[in-house]
Amino acid sequence: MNKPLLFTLGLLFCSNLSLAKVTVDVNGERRQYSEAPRLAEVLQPYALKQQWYWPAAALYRTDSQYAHSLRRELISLAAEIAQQTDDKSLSDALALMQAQVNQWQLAERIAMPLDYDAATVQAALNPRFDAGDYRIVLGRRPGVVHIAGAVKRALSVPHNSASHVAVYAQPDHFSYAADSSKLAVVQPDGRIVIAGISSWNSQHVEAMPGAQLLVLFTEPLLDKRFARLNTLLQQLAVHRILP
Amino acid sequence: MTLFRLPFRLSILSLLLMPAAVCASDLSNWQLPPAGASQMAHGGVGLIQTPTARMAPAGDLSMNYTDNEEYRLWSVSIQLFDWMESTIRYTDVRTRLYSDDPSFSGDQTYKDKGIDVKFRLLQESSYLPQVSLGIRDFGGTGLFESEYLTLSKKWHNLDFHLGIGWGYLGQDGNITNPFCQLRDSFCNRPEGYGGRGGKVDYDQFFKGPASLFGGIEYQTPWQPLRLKLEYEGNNYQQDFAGNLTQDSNWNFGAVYRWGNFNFDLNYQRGNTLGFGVHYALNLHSVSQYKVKPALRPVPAQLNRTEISDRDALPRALLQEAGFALQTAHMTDDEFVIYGYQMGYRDHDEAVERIGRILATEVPAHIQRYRIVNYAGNLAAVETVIEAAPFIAAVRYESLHNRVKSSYVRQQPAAQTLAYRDIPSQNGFFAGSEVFFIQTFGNPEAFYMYQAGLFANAGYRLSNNLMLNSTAKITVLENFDKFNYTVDAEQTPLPRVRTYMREYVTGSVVSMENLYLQWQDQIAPNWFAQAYGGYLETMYGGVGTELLYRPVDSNIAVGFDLNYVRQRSYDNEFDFFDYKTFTGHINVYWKPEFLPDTQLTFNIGQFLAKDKGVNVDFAKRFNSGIVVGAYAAFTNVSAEEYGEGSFTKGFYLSIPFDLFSLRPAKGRGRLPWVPIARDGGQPLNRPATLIDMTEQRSPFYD
Repeated sequence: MNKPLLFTLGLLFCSNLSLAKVTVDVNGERRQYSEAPRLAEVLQPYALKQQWYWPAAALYRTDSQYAHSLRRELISLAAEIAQQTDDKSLSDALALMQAQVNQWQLAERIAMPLDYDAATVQAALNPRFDAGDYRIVLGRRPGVVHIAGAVKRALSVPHNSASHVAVYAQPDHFSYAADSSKLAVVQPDGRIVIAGISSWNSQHVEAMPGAQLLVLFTEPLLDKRFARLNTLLQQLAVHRILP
Repeated sequence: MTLFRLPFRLSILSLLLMPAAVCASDLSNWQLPPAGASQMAHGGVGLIQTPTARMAPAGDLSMNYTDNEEYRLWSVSIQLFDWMESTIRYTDVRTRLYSDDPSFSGDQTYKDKGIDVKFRLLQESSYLPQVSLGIRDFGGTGLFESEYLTLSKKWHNLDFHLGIGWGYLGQDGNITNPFCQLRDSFCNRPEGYGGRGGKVDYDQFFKGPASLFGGIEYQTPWQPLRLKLEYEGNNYQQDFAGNLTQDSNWNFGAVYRWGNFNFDLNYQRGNTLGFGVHYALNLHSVSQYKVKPALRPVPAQLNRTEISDRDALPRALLQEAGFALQTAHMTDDEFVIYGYQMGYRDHDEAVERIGRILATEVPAHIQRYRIVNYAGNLAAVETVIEAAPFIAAVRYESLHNRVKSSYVRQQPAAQTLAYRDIPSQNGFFAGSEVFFIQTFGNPEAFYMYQAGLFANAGYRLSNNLMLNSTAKITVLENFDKFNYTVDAEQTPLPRVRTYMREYVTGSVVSMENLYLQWQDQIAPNWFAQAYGGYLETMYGGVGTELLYRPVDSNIAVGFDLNYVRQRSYDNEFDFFDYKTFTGHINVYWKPEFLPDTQLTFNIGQFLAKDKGVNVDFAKRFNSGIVVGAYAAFTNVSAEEYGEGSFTKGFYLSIPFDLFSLRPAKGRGRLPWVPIARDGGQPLNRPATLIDMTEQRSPFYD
């Protein structure tokens, strides 16, 4: 990084601190801060009101277009593949996926752990907000996991404790061109784990309550667009505001 | 014969803490671990006697001991990449003596070493199996020399394996060699080995009898236990241990996993019980618990206007950031520190720690911190920290961690170096380190060792000029068992290295080196040195080296030129008549297509006046452990070279940080050289510029 850029960054920090205007929506309750608050300050009014399930608590930046641009890229790629194929089943499967993704409520998720207790004792987990508009979603422990991607219909099914993710896989619901050998598990804290669920690659991976299980598309050996499609699908799911 | 050096203060602690270092990797995952791949008798992933297409996780290192009636096998198998497995092995053949001459090797049984390699060609998918191609025991005398192609396909808890083998694995000839159908030359396997052993005998590959082999591995419902059933394609008619009775081609066994250990018990050939113990660790994830100061918090208000306590800064830098401050300079808006990083091998952590201290110890109006890291007298790299964004980042003033984007690494600027008021540096210095020489597979005893202390002392005449000396003090050894000091093999090459036994069995205290050394950075990115005196155990003379190494570049180039004379092993100061020029063009390259890998090429003339190239391949794992291999290809033929055909070797470089509770720099190198003779041998220069300038574009740390 060159010096002028560092200087600009320095200015940005200064301006953030002095002119910070932060708006945070916590579960529908909106607050505005004239001085950029720290995380603990934002969470403090809500933290002890309920037994929140902190691993699934999420912070989103609502004035960012990043997640929407990801969605546009995914839909555009799916449309391109559908347009260039003669396989009607494939284009139908892609259309089903596009319809699901279009329904998703999205915002750029800030990748950081949200935990009020930790934020009050550990400085690194109590950062100051940058100027902007945010949304925090707090909830009680979810009782479901969400299945989406290359499926005929998006589903939410009851969460099973201490169970391999394969128990949620219902091949009847997979759409044409679905890769039935694995699932992408997007844990509620934003981590993505690929879990083998077939006879040849099965490994014990558990879904946390509130996780998204993405059925991916089969990746043909010579068509790299499907690998890109699957990557975009996983990246986008991280930025999904779950119902 | 291999040499391992360790700073004295770390040596005892290291051994005590080794278990902590290797056990720390398993704590992060609460989910049930997959059963994983297990090792076969010869080392490497497989069933009992036969390999499978399976691979261990990348970075896995497995140390194996297996035993059956005729053979004992010690091996180390490393998964260098997820597609490549390599294994080195020593075999003890109980039914044969080392030699027929009791005065030479007593009653010691026969020992042999071997190297295996296996490549994954195809990953398993829904319908296709995993496919791997391997070569066993190449590059040696080839007791178990084989080539094989093997397939593995898993179905729930059963893993099915099928392979075709040539050589040892295909000795039974239970099918017709498919290549024999194509060309007659593949119908018979040539006997013996090429050159003087130690070469890859390509002309034997896939020739002679071929056999199918295979088996099933069953993961029982009890997670630690796996069962194995195997059909092998060897008939043991021409085994080195003798004509072994084989009552059945079917072998079966069980593997029990306990933590990082695997214990196996098996029944081979229908008449022989075998067992094994395997210990595995992962070179990527192995780590060590650390006791270190907490990161210094940077308060919300910084109002220091001057440095009131001049001792506080150097003390804090040393204790909290491992930085030995040599001197400092302050301008209107900049603060510059010059010194040595002594503790933290993680550069980013070191910079953050230093920056936090500077933010709280120097006046608040300072806008920029400059850290000049030295290596000896060379200003290796300058790190420029912009104070405002750095302070904001370490105060967590943003949701995004921006510490790394608040500083840059660069060639130390001329202005920065000009600030430094360099007092004339001279005076004595001293130090010590433990050494450990070990050698395997000798006729006198399988394992021989020599341990002691290297005591260093020197005098710095100026910033760039110093006198160095090292005394070798032997404390513990069994080299007195040597029954010869010069081997009987006669080759046309001068004996530039094969007097090794003479040198290491000299007096208890000997002079390792004594030389005058000059070093300097002669231009930005250019480093030079010259040296003269007793340079290493076997050679003295004069030499020079030049190196071009930009900061954070993937490539460095240089050359060295030396005129040396062979030292006498009869006393400390005399020389033999043999003298030569030796020198190389040196290229160091970290290719982007091979992550965390460094290739080194030394092209030039070696000690025996042979000309060629030494190629070194080093792979770094996330823990900092480096595994390397090298080979020298020169204009000396295999016959001229003698046993082993050419110089080659392997090494493991381990950061001391993995053994120490406190952050530590430096590393130890464990070499393994199968056979070293006189061709392709470089001068062991007492200091190399590539090591001195490691901080400029780190590979090891």
